Amino acid sequence: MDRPEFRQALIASAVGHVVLAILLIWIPGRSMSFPDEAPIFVDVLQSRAPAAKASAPAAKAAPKPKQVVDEAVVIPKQPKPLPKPKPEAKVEPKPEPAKKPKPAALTPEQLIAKIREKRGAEAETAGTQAAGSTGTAQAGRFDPLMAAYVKRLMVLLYNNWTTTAFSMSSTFPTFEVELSASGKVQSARKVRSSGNRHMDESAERAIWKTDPFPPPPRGLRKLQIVFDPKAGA
Amino acid sequence: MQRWILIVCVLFSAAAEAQDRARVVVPGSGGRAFQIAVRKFEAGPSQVGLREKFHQELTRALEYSSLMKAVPHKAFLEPIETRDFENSAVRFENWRGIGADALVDGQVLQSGSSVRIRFKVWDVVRQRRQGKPGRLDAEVKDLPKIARELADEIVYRFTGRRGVSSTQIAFVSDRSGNKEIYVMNADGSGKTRVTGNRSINLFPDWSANGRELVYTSYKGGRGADLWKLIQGRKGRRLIDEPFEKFRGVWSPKKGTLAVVMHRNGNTDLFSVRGDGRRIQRLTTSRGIDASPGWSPDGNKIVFVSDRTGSKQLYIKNLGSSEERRITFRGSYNASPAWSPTGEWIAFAAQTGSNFDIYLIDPESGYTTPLVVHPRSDEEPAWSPDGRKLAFRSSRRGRKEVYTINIDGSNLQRLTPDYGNSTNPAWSGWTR
Repeated sequence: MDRPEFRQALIASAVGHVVLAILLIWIPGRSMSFPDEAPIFVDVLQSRAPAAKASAPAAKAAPKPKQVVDEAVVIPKQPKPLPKPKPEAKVEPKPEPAKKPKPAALTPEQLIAKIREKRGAEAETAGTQAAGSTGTAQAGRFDPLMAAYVKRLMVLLYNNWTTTAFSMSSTFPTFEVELSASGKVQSARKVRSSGNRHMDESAERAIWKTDPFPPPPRGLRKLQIVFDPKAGA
Repeated sequence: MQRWILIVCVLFSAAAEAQDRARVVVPGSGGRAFQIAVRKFEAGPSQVGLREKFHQELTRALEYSSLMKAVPHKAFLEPIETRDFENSAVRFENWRGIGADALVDGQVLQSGSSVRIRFKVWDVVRQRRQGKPGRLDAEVKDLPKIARELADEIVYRFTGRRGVSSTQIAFVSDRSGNKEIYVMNADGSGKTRVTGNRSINLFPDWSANGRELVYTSYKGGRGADLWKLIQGRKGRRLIDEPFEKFRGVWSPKKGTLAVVMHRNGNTDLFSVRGDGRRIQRLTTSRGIDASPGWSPDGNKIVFVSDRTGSKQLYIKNLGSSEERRITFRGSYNASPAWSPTGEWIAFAAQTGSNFDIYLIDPESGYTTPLVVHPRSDEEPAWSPDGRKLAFRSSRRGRKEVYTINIDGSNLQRLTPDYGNSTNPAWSGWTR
């Protein structure tokens, strides 16, 4: 190891390595300059027109991350199947939902009864609204026959009322009308004045113009008729 | 057991009570016209022509109200003529049977150049006479006028406010080549020229009793001045002041006028007595205050002012001198007219290059369009009953006077073939 020849060989080897390293660094720098390549000319006009195109590649580049995002979205979906086994585990305590198919097992009579029940509830709701608009004062239970009769009367009186009175007052005439079983007006008594004689007279005229009324439902003999144009406003 | 039976009986009777009565709310009128049967009035053989003319005019005037519709004679189950006016008995069922709501019976009595009309009005539906029997006396030449007055009286008996077929509308027309004042019946018939000075005459306005007419004229070479016409007399200058007076508007109550006068370098509103005296300044703003219109009680005036830069409507309370602005939309609101009921102020608002007529509630400021057309509608003027409005429109090219019901129905053109007709002013009732 102490030989001078060995030392010289080592020095020569080190110098050789250094020279080789310098050469390696220097050669790639020259190759990147492309001194012999002609410059590329771009037509500005053309470059404007395909601006969208130019952006398209950018857009194209953009979707790449989207795809990544989609993939990322897909990834969390994967864990979903994991909870699935849990409901499967709950299938046992869910015999009640399994009852749903049972209505199919109802007899036609039962189905009809059920539909009738549903329709009855709907009719009652609608009837209550109609009664409100026509003003039936049936507290408590709803009578569809009565509501229909009241609505019919409202239309007849509406068509026969000519509000010739010039001015409207804040109160409106109210009449109490007694009917026979056939609907003939027995009496029409003003129970509340509008404060305007001509308005009251026009209301009374509408009642007598409508006489005879349609035959009332069984038992109905008295009507309270309120002429209130503001109710229709 | 008996106790239970009693309880059941009580429950049943309560249920029966609940079904015994019902409440009906009538939410308005179906808009059916009031059907009125008008018989031809009883007349002697020599007065049949007179009677026919009267009947025609009466029927037309009743229908002009837009409230009443005459039942055609061919539908009558009873004689179409009144027979034995004094003792006539009415078979109500025969009139109800043809859909009539009311019946008019009458008699025409002529004596020389005068004529007497006697009448009875029946409420066929309620089966009673509507008001007392009445009579009207007039010259034969005034028979159409009497027919219109009777129609207005019948409208009153059923509605509480008279019809307006006997009222008149004054307007300006350039038919003769100059802007002159004309007067016509409310339905557009009987047009008569009342000025003939070959100058420019504008803005006629009626006194509350419908007998005096004030208007602006440029005659006499003193610029705009106010002149007053009294029925049957020669016109005279209203105010002896050197300043220009652009317009005068009669108060509906107090016999005074609101006058637009240019005084001391500014145009303001003034009040002046009907005889032209006692001039009082009403507005003092630096802007131009014009187009006054009185509230029905005569205590307030609506007017147009440009004091804020654009032409807007203001109301001045004459008692407290308070002034408040009521329009805030648009840059040109003009010619306000307060309804006789006080509920609305009609005015013309510029929309684009044209004007449309709007109604504004003076209290709440709620505004609703009444007459909207691609061409201009301006200068609204209320009928004295507040049911109709006259206005000027250029929808057919020339400026013409129209009337319309305030529900927007029954548009009528009153001045065809009368040149450009502007500035309509509706009179009150003369009696």
